[in-house]
Amino acid sequence: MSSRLRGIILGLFIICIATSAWLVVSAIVTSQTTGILRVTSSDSHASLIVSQDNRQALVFGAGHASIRLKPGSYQISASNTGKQTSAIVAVYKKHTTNSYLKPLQSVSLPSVEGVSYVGLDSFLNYGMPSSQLDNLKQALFQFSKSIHSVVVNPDSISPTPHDRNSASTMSSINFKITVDSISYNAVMNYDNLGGGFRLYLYDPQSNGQVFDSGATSVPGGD
Amino acid sequence: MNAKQAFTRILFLLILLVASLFAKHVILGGMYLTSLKAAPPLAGSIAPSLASAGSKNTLPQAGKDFKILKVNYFDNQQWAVVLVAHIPDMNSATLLLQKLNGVYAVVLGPGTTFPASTAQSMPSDVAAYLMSKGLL
Repeated sequence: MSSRLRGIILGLFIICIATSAWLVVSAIVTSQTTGILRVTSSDSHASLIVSQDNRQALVFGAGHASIRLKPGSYQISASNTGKQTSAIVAVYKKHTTNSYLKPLQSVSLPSVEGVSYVGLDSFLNYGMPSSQLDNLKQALFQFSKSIHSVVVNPDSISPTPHDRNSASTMSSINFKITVDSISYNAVMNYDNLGGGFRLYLYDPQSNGQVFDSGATSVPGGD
Repeated sequence: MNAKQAFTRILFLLILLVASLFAKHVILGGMYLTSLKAAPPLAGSIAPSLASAGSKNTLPQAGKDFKILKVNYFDNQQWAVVLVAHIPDMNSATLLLQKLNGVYAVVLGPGTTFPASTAQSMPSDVAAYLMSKGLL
């Protein structure tokens, strides 16, 4: 065989050896420096999407799928027919991160109904009309359109004694309220006949007023 | 070296290459590294809302399928109004995003106008901005 052909084969040999070594070494390095993200959605038909700050979004599976990623914080979503659930997950090297996306819910503008209320029904025990409970929820939503949870401590509810000699149908209640983990002292003035309503929120440290819903005049009642 | 030896060596090299590829597949567990391409802020949050109904496996890509023209943040970046344009016709639309549990989600849009009643469900400064742009 000519020396030229021998040289070509030798060159191919070197290239193949180098390529093979590179394939194996790069695979080892990748496995040591990346992590696996495994996502499961309750909806087996939901498209699983991964994205990151200042990065494109990518569909990597449906229902249940895994993906290898560089370490970092990622946003994952499960999306199907207009409904979507998202979460932030962290990927670590040499580690498999499992994430379960809860049942999908429609993502829409916040609403009064979308807020979680705990303890508000306690006001009914003090004779407050249920219509005023709706006004309280509206006032809180007016305070912040971004709220997710409201918690009233039933033990903190303190009605102002009503003057029996007065013809006024207005009552006042002091209480402590937590809005998205932030605590406030609150005063609520309302008409027992379901008319006017007004909510004040105060900072518990400084007693400074942080919110005044303004007087509302609502016809009707219970 | 005769032809038979040359063939044997070439065959060995091919087997070596195939074995290396197989080894890579085994080492990585069949999952190769996925890198997300660079994109403007919020592109990843917006793309699913711009996807057409039939495209379940692909999402529009910023810079290729759509372009983010403008982003306005409100209320400590809890809300964002984003103006996007479709490539190549450059038809524009607006989306409203809200930060929920640390993640921006599209709560309104994409659209060119929205019902005035939606103003009640967003902060007043966001509503005022959308009104000033003729979107509400």
